[in-house]
Amino acid sequence: MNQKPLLSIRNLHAGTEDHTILKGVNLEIPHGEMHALMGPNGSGKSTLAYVLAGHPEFQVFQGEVHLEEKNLLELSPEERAHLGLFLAFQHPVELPGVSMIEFLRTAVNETRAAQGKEPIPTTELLKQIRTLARELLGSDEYISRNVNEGFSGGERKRNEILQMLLLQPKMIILDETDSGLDIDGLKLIARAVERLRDNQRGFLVITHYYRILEFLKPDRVHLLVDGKIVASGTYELAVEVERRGYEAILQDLHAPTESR
Amino acid sequence: MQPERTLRLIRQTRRQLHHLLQIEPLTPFQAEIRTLLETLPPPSPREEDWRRIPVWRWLTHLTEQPSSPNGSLLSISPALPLPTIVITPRGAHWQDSPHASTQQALHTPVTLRTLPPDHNTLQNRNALLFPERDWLIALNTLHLEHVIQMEIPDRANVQLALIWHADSPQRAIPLTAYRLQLTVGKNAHVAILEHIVGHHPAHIVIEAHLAKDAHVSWWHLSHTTTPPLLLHHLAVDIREHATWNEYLLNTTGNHVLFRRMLWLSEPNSQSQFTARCLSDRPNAHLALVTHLLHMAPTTTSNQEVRGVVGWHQTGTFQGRIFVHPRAQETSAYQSARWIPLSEHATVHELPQLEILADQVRCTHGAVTGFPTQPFLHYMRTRGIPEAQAYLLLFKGFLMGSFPEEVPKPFTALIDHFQKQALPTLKKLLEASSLYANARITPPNP
Repeated sequence: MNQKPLLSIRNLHAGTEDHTILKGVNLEIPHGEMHALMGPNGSGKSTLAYVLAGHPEFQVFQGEVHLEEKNLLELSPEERAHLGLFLAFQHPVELPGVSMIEFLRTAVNETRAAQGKEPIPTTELLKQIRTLARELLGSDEYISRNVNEGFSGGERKRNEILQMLLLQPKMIILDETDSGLDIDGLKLIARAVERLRDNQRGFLVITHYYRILEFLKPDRVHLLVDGKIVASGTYELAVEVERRGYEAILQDLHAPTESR
Repeated sequence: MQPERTLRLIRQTRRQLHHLLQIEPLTPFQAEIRTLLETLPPPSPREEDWRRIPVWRWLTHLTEQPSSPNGSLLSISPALPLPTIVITPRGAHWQDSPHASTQQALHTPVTLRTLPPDHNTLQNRNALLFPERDWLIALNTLHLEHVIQMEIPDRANVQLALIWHADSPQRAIPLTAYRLQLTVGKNAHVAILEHIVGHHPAHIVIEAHLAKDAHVSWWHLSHTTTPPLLLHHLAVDIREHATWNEYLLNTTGNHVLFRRMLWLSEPNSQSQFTARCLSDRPNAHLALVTHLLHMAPTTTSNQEVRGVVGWHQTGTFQGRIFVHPRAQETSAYQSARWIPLSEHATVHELPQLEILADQVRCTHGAVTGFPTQPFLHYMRTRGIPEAQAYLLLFKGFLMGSFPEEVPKPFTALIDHFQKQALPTLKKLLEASSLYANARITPPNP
């Protein structure tokens, strides 16, 4: 049994050069758990995802982030990925001219090399990629294209999940993967995520909507408002957000303070 | 050497060099050479005088000593199933690849002749090309007046490789010059892969005439055996419903100039130009000068140029599109993108439009630089180290959409040339001060 949490965030203050967005985030995700992070627009959900993934536009002013024993904040984005951190982007970029196969092969083999493993034989890797592409994108024709070039919004999201399944990371952050997806796409992605769920992996599902959580049934739900987690609870918290909206819940949270 | 002949050669050489030195802006060294050319007294017939002038020294300086016998496309692709025409200076040594042992005849309906007639060359006959036999055209290559004529008949379907050999046996003036007149008949479909090998400066002039409904795809590929100085001039006349598609992949050279002038002279004629440029020489000047003349209605042109320069290199693109008053409903697109990888590298982009018709669609764009940050971060979150990510990105920038359609016999060769561009790109990145912190790791097997 792992005693230490898989991901541990303590008093994280971060933002851009002239603007603090995260104002003391505390969060622990144990091995084998899926946590959901909800919150109104501009609350800092995506910023948290970017900070964890080491985006150069964001600075950490204070706090600690550990992935198991390792201090994530000391590592480059690729070193974080080699440790098993994966971010499925809200808006995955196109990589002009970079072929899917070359991109995936480099990503898989670089990660394996960093973990002291041999490169995966190309034919085997190709087979895996084709299978995943057929399953998630409906056709293996996509892998002969360039990364995300000419992909629709939904296809890009599915491509993120393809990469997740291929890389088999340890700590997975899904940043609004459900936005822009139709109901079939949502179910497909939920099933793919479920496949990776085991007692070693951790998930942080960032979302605005209750719908994906209906499929995934997270162990914990957190509410991020103005750069801080203001409430945590079980799946019921997500149900309440869906039913009453953020504003009503926030009013309840502030009520004792105001009555004093 | 006869004095008159030497004089003629000197005049010729000066004229040829002027082509290169017409490019603006010039590097200080080129400016110096041009000033010298302009102020030189009438050339002396004495070779010793010729040797004293800096132009000669410059040419000699540019000349590289062959480290190995001459190569050929056949050494790259042993089973190249293509008729191959090698044009070599008379007296030069051309050693073919040991792979070229097949005696299979490659029939092609192409007619080759030289002007003035030369008993050493193919004369007025259809070319039946055997590797190791019959396929060499040996010319006195210091005369641009000495012309090779290639005729492709109506409705022919031709795919062939054309190799210019730039190792001049003339030690006095190390320059090779060739001139090709290509005539493509009606409704003919032609794919030509052009390649220049050698260690001496080369000047190549190609004049092409495309008859109605002809379709030509022209591939110019270079690699490390390309001459250090290359002046490549192309003039194409494109008739009704004819198409000229040109692909250029240049990965080496010290001074490289591609000058192309295309006349879209009849309705519905089309042209496309896709170019990718880089060089492994630290002081290289890569220049593309294009003139597109839309002379008839409903003509279409599309040009896409991309290049990467590093060290102290210079990249130049001058693209002029002219639309004649009667060329209504013309579509002309032009885009040039260069990435300077070093603070000492220079990029000049001069797109020009001269539109005299009122119903046209013309766009032109010139971009210098490449916003890499969002792409880099995305790739790094997938475990790809920064240096590797740069390499993938720049490879994608150069090769991503090049080429879109490849004639089947050319596939292996084009793949080979693209792979050859990678080490050059890697060198450029490694030398780049902008990416000094990024460490290039060996590629995955």
